[in-house]
Amino acid sequence: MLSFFKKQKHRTYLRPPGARSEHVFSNQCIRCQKCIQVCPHRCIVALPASYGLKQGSPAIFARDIPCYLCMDCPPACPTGALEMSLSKKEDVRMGTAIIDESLCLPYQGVICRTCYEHCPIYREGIILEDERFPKVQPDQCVGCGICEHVCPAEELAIQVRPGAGDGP
Amino acid sequence: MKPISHYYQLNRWRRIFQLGSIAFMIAVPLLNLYGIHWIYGNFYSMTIAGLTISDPLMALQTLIIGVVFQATLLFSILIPVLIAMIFGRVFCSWICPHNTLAETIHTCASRLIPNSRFKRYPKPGDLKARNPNALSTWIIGAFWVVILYLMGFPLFLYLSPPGMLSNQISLFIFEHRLGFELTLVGSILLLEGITMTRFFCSRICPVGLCLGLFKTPRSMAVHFEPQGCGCNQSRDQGFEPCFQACPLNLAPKKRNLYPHCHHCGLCLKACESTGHQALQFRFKNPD
Repeated sequence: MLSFFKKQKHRTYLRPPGARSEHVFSNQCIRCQKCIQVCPHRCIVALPASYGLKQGSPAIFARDIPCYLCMDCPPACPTGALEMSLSKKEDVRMGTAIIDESLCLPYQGVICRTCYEHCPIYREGIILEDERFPKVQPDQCVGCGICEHVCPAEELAIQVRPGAGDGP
Repeated sequence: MKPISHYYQLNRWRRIFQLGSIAFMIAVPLLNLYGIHWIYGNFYSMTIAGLTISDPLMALQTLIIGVVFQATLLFSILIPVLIAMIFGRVFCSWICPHNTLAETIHTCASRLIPNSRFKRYPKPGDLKARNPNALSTWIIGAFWVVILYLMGFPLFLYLSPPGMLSNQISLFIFEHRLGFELTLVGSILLLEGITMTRFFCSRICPVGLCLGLFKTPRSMAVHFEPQGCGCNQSRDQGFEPCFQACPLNLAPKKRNLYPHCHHCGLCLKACESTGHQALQFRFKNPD
């Protein structure tokens, strides 16, 4: 009935760790803001009113503050919108980072290892090919967005595509 | 000076709880902001020292449109459901911040505009004042559930003022902005002000209706004893303190008091102040 409101566009924000697929999540979430309140890094924010019916639900804008995978929010969720049992940061699947090779500094001949060094799944989420070129491993990447946050390139060279396997 | 007595004291406690709930609503996000996390949440769902308490309406909503239903959510509504089963809709009158706001507005308005419908003064001989039909109120509740099911969108989030208010306070403290839920609460207050009745709280609010669902024949209720009532026999027939005291414009002596009544106890206090004891809280259904 509300399909009119649902735009089939890619989300630009991430959901907190343990979030179920986007449609299930936005219906399960009761906007109790517990995840926002327990987040020690204040990375989870409530979506502004411009997001229509999803406004008020928790989101992470990784470019501003990424998720540091402290795993405090999944147990705080009362409804199961975030999977309560999730406790290992390696099991989080918020999205997958994608490197734009036309913007990424090492591919332009500049030495840069920022994303590789900051990846919380160290040496597994992002590996260095030939000791130089960062490559995202989609199976290991948790989608926390730390790489997106620290990337020094002027235009976003690495970006997290939200909701791996869930669709938009 | 009013005689200090049982229901007068009860009402004083109620005021303390109402102020406390508003202080709670502001204090919890502030505590969270400064890194104290043993208490968090808002009136949709809150956790106090590991114990989670959720709004039964939110559990109902998740049951209807949700895909995942967690057992922990069922456990967390136990305390509110038990309170509603024993004491009735006391959440509305003792804790709900929207009720506190509306009550304050209506009390102020009734002082400013003395002869308005903010305070109903039945004319002499007008004893036909009735409560709204309980069945029609339940039909409104069923209507919300059907709409919720058809929309498949968490609609009750925008129909529960206590949750919306506490949500907005938390949002303001964390992100220094306000969402549009505040407009909804404001328009409800405005509509209630224009119509000079508390129609939303008594009949439409799904939070209250959901709590009203749990009333049993043995739960606490306003019990009327016609023998004890002195106002029936008094010469000016319009003198009905209990009726005038009710913030929801209900007639405590008549039938169909439930599910509208939320046990604020003001009618009992008014009855008591006349020196009679016709109205009492009893754990027995008068109907």
